[in-house]
Amino acid sequence: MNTINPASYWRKNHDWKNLLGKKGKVILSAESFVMVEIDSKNYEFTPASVNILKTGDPVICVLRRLTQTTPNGLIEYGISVKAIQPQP
Amino acid sequence: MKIKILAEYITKFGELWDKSLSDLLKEAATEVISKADIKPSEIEAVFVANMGSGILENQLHLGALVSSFFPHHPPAVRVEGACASGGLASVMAQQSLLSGRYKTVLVIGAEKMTDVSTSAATKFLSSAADYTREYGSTFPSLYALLTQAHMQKYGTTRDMLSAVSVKNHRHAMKNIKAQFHRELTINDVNNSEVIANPIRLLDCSPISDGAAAIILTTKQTNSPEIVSYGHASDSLTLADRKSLSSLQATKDAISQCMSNTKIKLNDIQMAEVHDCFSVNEILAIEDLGFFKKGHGGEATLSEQTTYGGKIVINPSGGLKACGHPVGATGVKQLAFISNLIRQDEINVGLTHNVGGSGATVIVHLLSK
Repeated sequence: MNTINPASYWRKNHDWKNLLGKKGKVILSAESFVMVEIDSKNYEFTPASVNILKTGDPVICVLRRLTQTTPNGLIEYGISVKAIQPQP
Repeated sequence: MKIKILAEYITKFGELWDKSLSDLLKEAATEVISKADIKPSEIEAVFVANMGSGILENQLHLGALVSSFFPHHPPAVRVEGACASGGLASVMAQQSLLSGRYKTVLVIGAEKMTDVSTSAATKFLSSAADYTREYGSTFPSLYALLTQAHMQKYGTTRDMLSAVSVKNHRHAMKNIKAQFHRELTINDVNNSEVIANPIRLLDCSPISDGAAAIILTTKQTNSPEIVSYGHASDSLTLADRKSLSSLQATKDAISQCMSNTKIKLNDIQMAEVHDCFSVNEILAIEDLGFFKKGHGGEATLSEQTTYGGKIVINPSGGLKACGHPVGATGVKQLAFISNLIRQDEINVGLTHNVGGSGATVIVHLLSK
């Protein structure tokens, strides 16, 4: 699995903040990894929820912990996507 | 067939917090193409020099990474030869041009070293030595053995070693891309912390981030020419070397290089040599033939290797003061000398790039 070091995290943080709250649509899903179209551009993410995302699902970008944490290193947060629940 | 350097570009060297490896590569690629005044699609192939991105950044497949900067995705390959990766990438690129396969190619080198701790960077650099036979060594310790051998055989003094760093820091004052802009004295170097006896902190090149790029072409142009190169190897382990007071691969590489040209050593006005540690500049200027064996230290101390002397060694500040982002260094040497020729400051220059403790050496001769 690709992980990220603290300095890279700090640099990428500037890009991630622009994605927070943005909505898009899943165009490909490998269940544990998805490609999402947001504002006509494609991005790759790990899904935030345990519910499996399927092609065509509407999603929103959220901040989530991305990897298993250990007592030794950085807790890796980053942009993930979760399904937008239909309004009741 | 003549190989010309159509354009060159060097990023700032140093501890570049806000630049990733990809940012550095992108800056160098974009700027060198802009300086060459060509379309990106004219780049037919890319040769990427890098040593440690797999260890330091968990990022391999750099050829594809750089190729993806271009809309036409030119074929690309990563070249690794420790600290000589840049020189090797240039050699590979020239061979592709000489084969006739391509007419214009990009050579780009980069290293991102400051995202990890000093101990992690030191461990990564030690991977350029023989892992099984030099286990436990660091590069300062290997070069300390070479320093002791030179001191014992030729009486090279502490002041002579220190004069290398003093001169290179003085040269770097004029180089805006250099990592350090601070003059040193002999006493500063003599009194700096011992790293591996007799090597002191200010004998050592730094841990650096940076990138450099050149565009090579066989098309007609008035740009500086790579007249010749030499590429030689020696045993990876010091214990297997015939001599520890010279680097045989440097002697072999310069011999190859000069045998292909009518240019003489005396015609060379400036040279960028591989001063990863002070002793290596002294070894280089002797083994390249600029000074008699055993006289390199005295020549440096008596200012024969700076402006007004016999030859200017490391006008950029060298690895010591300009910085040493490993994969970028060999390309930076070529870019720096090429730019001096393009600016009409010199007619003939040389670069000398060393991998490990002398197991790989590449020498390039450049002229108008």
